[in-house]
Amino acid sequence: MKSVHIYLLGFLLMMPGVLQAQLFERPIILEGVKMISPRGEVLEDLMITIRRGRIAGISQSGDAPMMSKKIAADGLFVTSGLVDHASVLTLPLGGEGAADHWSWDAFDRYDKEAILSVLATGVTRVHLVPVRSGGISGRSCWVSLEPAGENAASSGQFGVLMEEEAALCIDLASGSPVARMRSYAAILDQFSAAKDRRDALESYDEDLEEYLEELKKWIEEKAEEGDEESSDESAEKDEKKDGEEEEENKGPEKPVRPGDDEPSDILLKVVAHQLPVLITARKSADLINACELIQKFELDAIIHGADEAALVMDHLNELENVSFILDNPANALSASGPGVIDGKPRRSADLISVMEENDLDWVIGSGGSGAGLWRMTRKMAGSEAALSSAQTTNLRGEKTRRDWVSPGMRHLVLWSGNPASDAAARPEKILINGLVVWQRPAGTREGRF
Amino acid sequence: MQISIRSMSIANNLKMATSQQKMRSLSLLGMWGVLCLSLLGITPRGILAADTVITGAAVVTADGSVNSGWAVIVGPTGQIKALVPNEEVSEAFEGSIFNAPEGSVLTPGLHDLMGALGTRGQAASLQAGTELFDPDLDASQAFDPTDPWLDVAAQQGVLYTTLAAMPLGVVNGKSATFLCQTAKTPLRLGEGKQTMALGDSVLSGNRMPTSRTALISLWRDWVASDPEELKSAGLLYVYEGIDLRQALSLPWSVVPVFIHTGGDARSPLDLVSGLPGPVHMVVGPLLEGGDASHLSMAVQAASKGIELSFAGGLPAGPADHLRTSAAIAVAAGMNPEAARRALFSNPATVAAATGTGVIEAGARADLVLFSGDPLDPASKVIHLWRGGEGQRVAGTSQVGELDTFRR
Repeated sequence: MKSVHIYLLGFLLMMPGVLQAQLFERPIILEGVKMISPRGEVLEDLMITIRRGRIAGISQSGDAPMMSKKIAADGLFVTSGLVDHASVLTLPLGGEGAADHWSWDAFDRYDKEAILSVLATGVTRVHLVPVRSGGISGRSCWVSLEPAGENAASSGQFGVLMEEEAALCIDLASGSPVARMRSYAAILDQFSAAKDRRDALESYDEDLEEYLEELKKWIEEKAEEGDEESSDESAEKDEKKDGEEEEENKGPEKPVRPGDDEPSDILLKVVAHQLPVLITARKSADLINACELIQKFELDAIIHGADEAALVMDHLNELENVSFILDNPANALSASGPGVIDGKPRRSADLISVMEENDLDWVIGSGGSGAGLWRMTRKMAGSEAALSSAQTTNLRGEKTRRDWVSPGMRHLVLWSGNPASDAAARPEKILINGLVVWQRPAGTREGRF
Repeated sequence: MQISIRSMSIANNLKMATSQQKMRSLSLLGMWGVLCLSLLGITPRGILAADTVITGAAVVTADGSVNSGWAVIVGPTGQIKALVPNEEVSEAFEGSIFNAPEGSVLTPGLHDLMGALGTRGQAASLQAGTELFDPDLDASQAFDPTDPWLDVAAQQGVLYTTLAAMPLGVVNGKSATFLCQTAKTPLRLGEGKQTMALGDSVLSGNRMPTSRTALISLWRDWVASDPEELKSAGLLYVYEGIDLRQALSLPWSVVPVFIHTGGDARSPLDLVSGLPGPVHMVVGPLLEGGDASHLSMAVQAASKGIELSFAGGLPAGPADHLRTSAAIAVAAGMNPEAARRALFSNPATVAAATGTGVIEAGARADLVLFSGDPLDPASKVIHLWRGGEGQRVAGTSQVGELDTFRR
C-alpha cells in the first residue's frame, strides 16, 4: 500500500501541469455583478464562478468556493466580449491581393498599444478582413485578442487564432467604376479558370489510366516488332531515315498533370462550399455584380457593406442563404447633400430596418480597428439591439447564435453601467480565460500615459 | 389671454378645498413651492397663448446634467421665458404644447467651433498674417449666409458656427458666431473675441518672426505694452504643448481661452489648472481611430477641472462629429456632465455668443430635441427650434409621438 502512495506521489510530481490544474488551480469569482438577460431583464447580485478560464456557474446566492480568487466586480454589469465582424486591426491596407494571402500572416501581434486600445472598448474577438485595392483580397480569420505565447501574461504578444479560414474576401467596392468593372471581370475569369482546372484535374486520372493502357499496348507491339525486325536485313534498317525511326519509336503522349496552384485550389474550396466568400459591395451596381457572382458559381456568400441594398433588394432577395455585415463609414457632411454629385454610395439611413423588413440576417463590423465598434453598433442598431448584434461570432448573423453570458464562455466584459441603457457605460475590466487582460486605470491615473 | 399657472392651480385647489384649514395648508404648500423654485432659479411666469410649451423631455442644464420633470416655455420673441415643473403645465392651456416622446432629451444647439461651416467649405477663405497684429480683422467677412450646409448641419443639431481667421499672425481679429440657418441675411450672435496665436503657424520666412525665439520676444514686448486686446479674454491658439507652456510663461491679466487642438502628454495641464477662475480649453475634434494621446490629454484636462469645448470641423467632418467627440471622450473616462458642457454651454462661453448654449430664462430658444442622451450615438435628432421656430427632423415612421403636437 505504501508503495502505491509513493508511485502516486511520484506520478503527480512528474506531471506538474496535472497537479496544478487538479489541485491548485483556484477558481475565480466575480461577486455582486449584474447581468442582462436575453429578454432584457437586469439580474442583480450574481456570482460568476470561472474555472479553467471558462464560466463554470452563475448563481444568485451561494458561498464562494474555498481558495477561490476574487476579482473586484461589485455592481458592475457583465456581458460577453464584443465581436467585431469586420476588423482591419494592425493589418496593412491596399496593394495587390490574392486568394492565398491570409490576414493572420499580416496581423501584428506585438502592436500592444493598438490591441489594448481595442480591448479597452470591450471588443475581445475580431474577424480580420484583408483589405486590398479591389478584386480577391485573401482569406480572413477569427482572432481572440488574448495574450499569447508560451508565457502569455508577460510575452507581450496578443492574438490567438480561433478559426483559421473564415472566408475568402473579395472587394467589389474599391476604385473607380472602370476599375471595379475590370476587377469583377478578372474575378469571373479566376473562378472560371479554377473550375477549368478542377475539370482538368478530374480528367487527368482518366487520361492517365488510358495512357498507361496505351503505353502497355505500345510496348507489347514494339516487342513484337522487335522480334520481327531481328530477322530483317540490317541494310534496310540503315536506309531508313532518322525522322521516320523516331516517329515509329514514339509512344502514346503522356497526359500532363495541372501544376500546383494554391490560389486556384482556394477558389475551388469556395466553389465546393468548403469556404464561404465575403464580398464587399456598396453601390447598387456592385451589389448586382455580387449577386451575379454568387448565383453563377453558387457561392456560399456574405455581403459586406451593402450601403445601397435598398435599391437592389429584388436582386438580393433572389439569393439563398445570404447574410450581411454592415458598417457605417464616417463620411464628411459635405460629401452629400445639396448640389453635390459624387460617386459615394447612397446609403440608407435605416439600413437595418430594410434588412429586417426583408428578413435578411445581419451583423455589424467596424470596418476599422474595432475601437469604435460599440458606438457604431449603438448608432446603427439602436440601444436595444446593440448588445445582441455585437455579441456573436457567427458571421451569418443568425439570431439563435447570440452570445449571452452562459456557462462555458471565456470572454467577459465588466461595464461601469448597463450598456443597454446607459450611454455613459464603459468597460472597466476585460477577462479572457479568467485573466484580466485589461482594466481601466484608477481615477487618479486617468489619462496618464 | 394670459393665464397664470400658479393662480390657475390655486383657483382649482380653492374649489376643491372646503375648509379653512385646507386652504391654509395649500397656501403654505404654494409658498414652499415658490421658495423651492426661487432657489432653483426658476421664476413662476405666466404663459401667453402665443407661447409654446415643450414638455415631456428631460432637459440638459448649464452644468451638463440631464434633468427630467421640467417644461420649457418659449415666448413669441424666440426666447426662453421660463422652465417650470411639468405638472404645472395644464391641459387647459390654450397655446401650443409640444409633447416630447418618452426618453427624449432637450438640449441647446450644438456648436461648431473654429470650423468652416458657413464658408461653403472654404476653410482658408479668411487668412490673417499679412499684418502680424491685425485686431481689426473680422471673421464675419468669410461668412456666407446662403451656404446650404448651414441647414444641413442644423438637421444634425448643430445650430451655431464660430469662424475665426487662420492663426497666421499674433493678433488675427475677432471671431464671429452665427446661427446655422441658410438665409439671405446672417444672424450674428455676439461680438466675438479677439483671436491670437503663439505657435509655429505664426512663423514665416518672408517676415518677422522667423524663429520661435523671435516670436516669444515679440509676444513679451506686446504684453508689456498693455494692449487693449489683452484686457478681455480672447482666444489663443496654442496648438502644441510647447506653445501652451510658453504662453503660460507670459504675464496674463485676463486668462484667454486656450485652443489646444494638438495637445498630448507634454501639455502642462497642472499649470493650466492652477490658473485663477474657470479655465477654458478647446480640444479635438476627437475622431474614431484618431490620436490617442490627444484624447488622453483631453480626459486628463477635464479631470483637473479645465472646462473643455470640442472643436468643430464641419463641413469637412462627419455630420455627427461633435457628439462622436463627446462619446469617445466619455468612453475614455471623461465625466458625462463635463462632456455635455463641452458640447453645449462651454462653446457659447468660448465664442462669447451671448444668450446661447444654455436652457434658461432669457436665453435664445435655439433648442434640439434628441431621442435620448446626446452622448448616446443611438440618439437621433427629432425636432429643432431656431429662435423659437420649430422644425420637424425625424420622419413619422421614426417618431409617431410627434403627432401630439397641437396647433
